[in-house]
Amino acid sequence: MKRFLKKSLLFLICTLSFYSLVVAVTLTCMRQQATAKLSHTPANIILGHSHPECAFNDALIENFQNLSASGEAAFYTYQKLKLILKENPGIENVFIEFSNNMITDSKDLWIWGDEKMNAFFPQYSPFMDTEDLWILLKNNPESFLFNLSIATRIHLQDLLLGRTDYAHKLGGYLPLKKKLDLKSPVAPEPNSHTTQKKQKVALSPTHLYYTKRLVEYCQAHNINTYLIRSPQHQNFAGRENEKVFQQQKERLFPDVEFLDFCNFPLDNSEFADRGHLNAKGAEVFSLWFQKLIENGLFNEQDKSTYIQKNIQEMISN
Amino acid sequence: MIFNSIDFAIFFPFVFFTYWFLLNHNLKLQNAFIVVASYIFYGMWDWRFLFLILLSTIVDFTVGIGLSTSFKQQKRKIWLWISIFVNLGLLGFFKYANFFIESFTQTFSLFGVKLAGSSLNIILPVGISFYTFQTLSYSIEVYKKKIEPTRDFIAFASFVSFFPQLVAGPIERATHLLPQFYRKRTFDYNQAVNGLRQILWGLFKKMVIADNCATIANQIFNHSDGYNGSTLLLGVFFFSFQIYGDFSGYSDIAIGCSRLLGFDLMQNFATPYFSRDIAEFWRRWHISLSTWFRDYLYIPLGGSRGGTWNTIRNIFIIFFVSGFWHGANWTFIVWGLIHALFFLPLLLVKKNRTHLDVVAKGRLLPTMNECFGMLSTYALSLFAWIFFRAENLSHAGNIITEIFSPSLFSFPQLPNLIHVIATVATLLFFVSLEWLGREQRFALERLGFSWPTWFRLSFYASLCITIFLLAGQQQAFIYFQF
Repeated sequence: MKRFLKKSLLFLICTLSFYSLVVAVTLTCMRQQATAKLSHTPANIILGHSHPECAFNDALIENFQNLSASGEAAFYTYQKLKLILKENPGIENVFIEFSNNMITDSKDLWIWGDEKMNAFFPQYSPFMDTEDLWILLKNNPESFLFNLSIATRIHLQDLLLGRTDYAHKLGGYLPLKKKLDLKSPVAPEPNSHTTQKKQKVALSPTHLYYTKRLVEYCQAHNINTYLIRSPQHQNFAGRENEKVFQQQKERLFPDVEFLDFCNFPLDNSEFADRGHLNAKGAEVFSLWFQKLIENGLFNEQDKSTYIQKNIQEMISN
Repeated sequence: MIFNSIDFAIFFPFVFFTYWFLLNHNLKLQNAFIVVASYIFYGMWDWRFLFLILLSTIVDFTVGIGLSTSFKQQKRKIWLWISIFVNLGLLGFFKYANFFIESFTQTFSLFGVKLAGSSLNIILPVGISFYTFQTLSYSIEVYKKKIEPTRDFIAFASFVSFFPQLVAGPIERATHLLPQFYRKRTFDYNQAVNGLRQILWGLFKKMVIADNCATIANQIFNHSDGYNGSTLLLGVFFFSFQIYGDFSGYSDIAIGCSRLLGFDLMQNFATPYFSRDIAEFWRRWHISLSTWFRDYLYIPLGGSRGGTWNTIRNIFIIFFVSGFWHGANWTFIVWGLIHALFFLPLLLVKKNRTHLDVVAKGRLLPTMNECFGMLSTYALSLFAWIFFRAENLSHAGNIITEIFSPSLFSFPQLPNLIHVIATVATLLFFVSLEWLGREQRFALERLGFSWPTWFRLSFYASLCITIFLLAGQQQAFIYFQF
């Protein structure tokens, strides 16, 4: 028995060490060789999930690139940001989506749920540090180990084929064709234990922490950072937690400017659903946003008030 | 708990150490520990169904005692029928109730009679088809006086619930496995190493072969309407390796784990795709089930002794039951009947026992004749797999129509070319190793014994790393649903 245990343990240790070496070397090589030079070298970028992804048509906004991706948690956006800023020193302003549905505990699954880990972990694993990896391992070890294999396999393949350019994998504007179906139920945010009366909201501390890290990372690189809330339909269910949302914003980001477009006036036909603009809505909003920049948004001292004033003017017109 | 999970990677070493280090001196405690471990193993799926295992255990234990104390044939028969009734009753209710209700209402609707039959909300307990057959084998063997009834309830409970083979076999015979629970087990280094090798090979089959083939096969079968004949044929090809890798991989892990605990389980697969005719295929595919049906159904029905018509009837009955055992769907029944049709000509010309030995025994390569035999048998099994995998008969019909259309000769519309090429390359490696190890119980059993030790160990290590790196998207074991 002793002989068996000794030999099997030795074999296991050697094999696992070799495997860990393969994983570590592959991810380190990818981290070093990955490039993400943005083609238009924009000064302004926006990051976030599907709300900004569908709202900002960057073809209509000068010097601006939409790098949002559907279902992307701040945890993965943070890895993306590190790569982008390293490769694109010309970036001056970073807009980070911060909206009602990004504070609830449903976002935990956006970080370590099987589906999201399958979608984002292999891509961003080379840029994660030990703390990031530990969060995933702790919360979903099975999926983490499985995706680590997938990530290593993909990166080995990419390194061998010289496919190390990430620029086209970082997200972008997503035009939606469909129109809002007013008969569709106003669905509550999944997994969030909200009640309108008491505003009891189960939060996602990890997601909030990484949103904060996004902001801090930009600030550490002397880049202007703005939190934004993309336009939403007035009946968007996610707004139920508004009070808690505002509290969290004040608690975590008291010094960060919050550019709130959630009440931007749009017709029902300009929404794809209550959370997303369709292509028509994105065009109206993006042209207005471009005009806002042209009119000196970045020179304004109090940008939030300036935006609200402009929105009010638009509503009254 | 599934074998290729972190839960099991923690569970099994814990069981192994407790079993060999803490309980090694007491057989009864070892057996009791196996029962507890097995119930935990099963309870992690759904603890509510543990009572079914317990019920089956109590009933068959009691039947065994009853059979030993009854001397009148009439009374013994009653005891046997109690076991049959309870075990098949459980199976019938949990697995087939909805099928019968639906088929019943559909049959009446054909004659214009609308019955208000609604299906029941029944969850199929994992592995019910396996452990009910195993306990049933005990009662039958005791009835036939081939085994002494046990009075050791713990040993019997461990036999019924033995976790490595509880949920997907091999379906063990009481005559083979039960006595192993009475004997003191000693740790055997060579057996344990052999067990580890079989687990490694099983994991490779499941995680690399089956799971990667599953991704392609599922994509093609789930969207079969949009694919041409050549792509659908490829889908069936990948499914054939998915199901083989999945099921035989599971069996290998089960046998390997058992060996580590000092048990010897029967071989369940013996390179079936190298069979030269369908009769040989059935001697090599899911051996524990085929022999179960042979011994407890085919032979009691008269086997091939009662004239041609009786033989034909018996063949159709066992293939029908075998198909139905796999699932409550007409597709499985048709799959079984197609195999009966393939099997029958061999039986009628008395050529069903031509190939009893492994192909090309003692040679490296097969003859042209053997190649033809293997390819044609594989092609026949592929045709039958279409029914096995299809959602329903019309789905299978559509796939067959498309495969046997001119679109068979068009270029396949491969969903992910790089993945398909990588999977085919892995399959070539896999089939080569299976070929080299076809005379053994599993491919790695003696492979590389003549190599230098460092080279052999490096080979095993590279297999482990291949599993880590090339594992496909985790899929549930197919046979869990049966």
